[in-house]
Amino acid sequence: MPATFPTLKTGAVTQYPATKSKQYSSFVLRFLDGSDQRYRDYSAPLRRWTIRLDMLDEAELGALDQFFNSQQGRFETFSFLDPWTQSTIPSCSVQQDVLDYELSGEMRGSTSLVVVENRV
Amino acid sequence: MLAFPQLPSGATAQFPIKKRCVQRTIVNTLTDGHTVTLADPGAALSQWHLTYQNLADAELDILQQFFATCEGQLTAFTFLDPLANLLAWSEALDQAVWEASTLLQMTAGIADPTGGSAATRLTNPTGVDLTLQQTINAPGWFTYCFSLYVRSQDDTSVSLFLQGGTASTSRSYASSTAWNRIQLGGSLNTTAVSLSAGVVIPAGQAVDVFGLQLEPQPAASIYKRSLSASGVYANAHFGADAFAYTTSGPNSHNCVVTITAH
Repeated sequence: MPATFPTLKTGAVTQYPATKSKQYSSFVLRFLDGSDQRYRDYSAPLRRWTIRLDMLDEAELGALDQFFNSQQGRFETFSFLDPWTQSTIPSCSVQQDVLDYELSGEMRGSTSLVVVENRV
Repeated sequence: MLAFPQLPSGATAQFPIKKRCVQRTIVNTLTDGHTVTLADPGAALSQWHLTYQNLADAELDILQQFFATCEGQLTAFTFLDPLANLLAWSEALDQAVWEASTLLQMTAGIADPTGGSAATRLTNPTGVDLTLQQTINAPGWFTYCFSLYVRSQDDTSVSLFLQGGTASTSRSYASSTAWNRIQLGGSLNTTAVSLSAGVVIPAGQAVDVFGLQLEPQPAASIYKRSLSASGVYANAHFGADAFAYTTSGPNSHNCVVTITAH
């Protein structure tokens, strides 16, 4: 059973401002006469979510720390609940190998990370 | 034992504390978007960026002396993560890191105060007190706080203890049917390089416990669940060979320390 992206104590996955994007991959071949041919590399777009979190407590930060290390950065896959559609994406990964977070006071933790959908 | 010092207040760090978790993964992205990944767990490391402000002369001297003892990045030391639980497997008391008296019975899956079912019922069916404890390899003379949530079906009492070598401290707490967080803080007069934190279950009693946590500070902070890794890093190094500080006034110094651990 794949891991699941941790939720905050409120049950939410992310906070405002939240960013979501769709990534296509097109191969463009340009000719001398200015025309071009285009090919589709991806069979379907891949989704990407930027998770920015603020005002977290130490337990929430600790859960993200544990999750990131259990995923070994970009290596493992997990299921992710799309905050926009509430649908579960079965195979996603963290986009980065480095997770930075800061605790500027009690209950004042902040971090951000990017979740990417994997091609399956 | 060489260990990153606590300030005289018993704190290891001040806010803001920055932590970085680093992993290394080799990723081969194919044209159609598929990826082939290879993990490199040996390259994983943690890094702390500790900012100190308004340190007194004596406090700065402690950090300077320790930095000189380590000769910058050269010598390894033990670092206690100020953001983590120093106990491993805080919700799996049947793991080998926990030392339980032979006849102590443990029932996992009990409802906990956070709405989950991660509490454990500890039942002592004998006529003598029984204990559950965990030992960490950390300076016994540091200031620690051991805390947990407890409740019982009948009014009874449980004791918490900290022990380093022959020195120990303990305290008894009343337990009722409602969840209550109890904590034992203090430092021991010892040179032992290990510390045990545990709970004593009185003869013939049963108590539910949850959220066992040990921290390198005088009082408990919010509970942080731990798995196989605890907040004790035995092979930490300074991240730089230079120790710089700014004196902003009499007996008032600021500095930043970076620590790296695998």
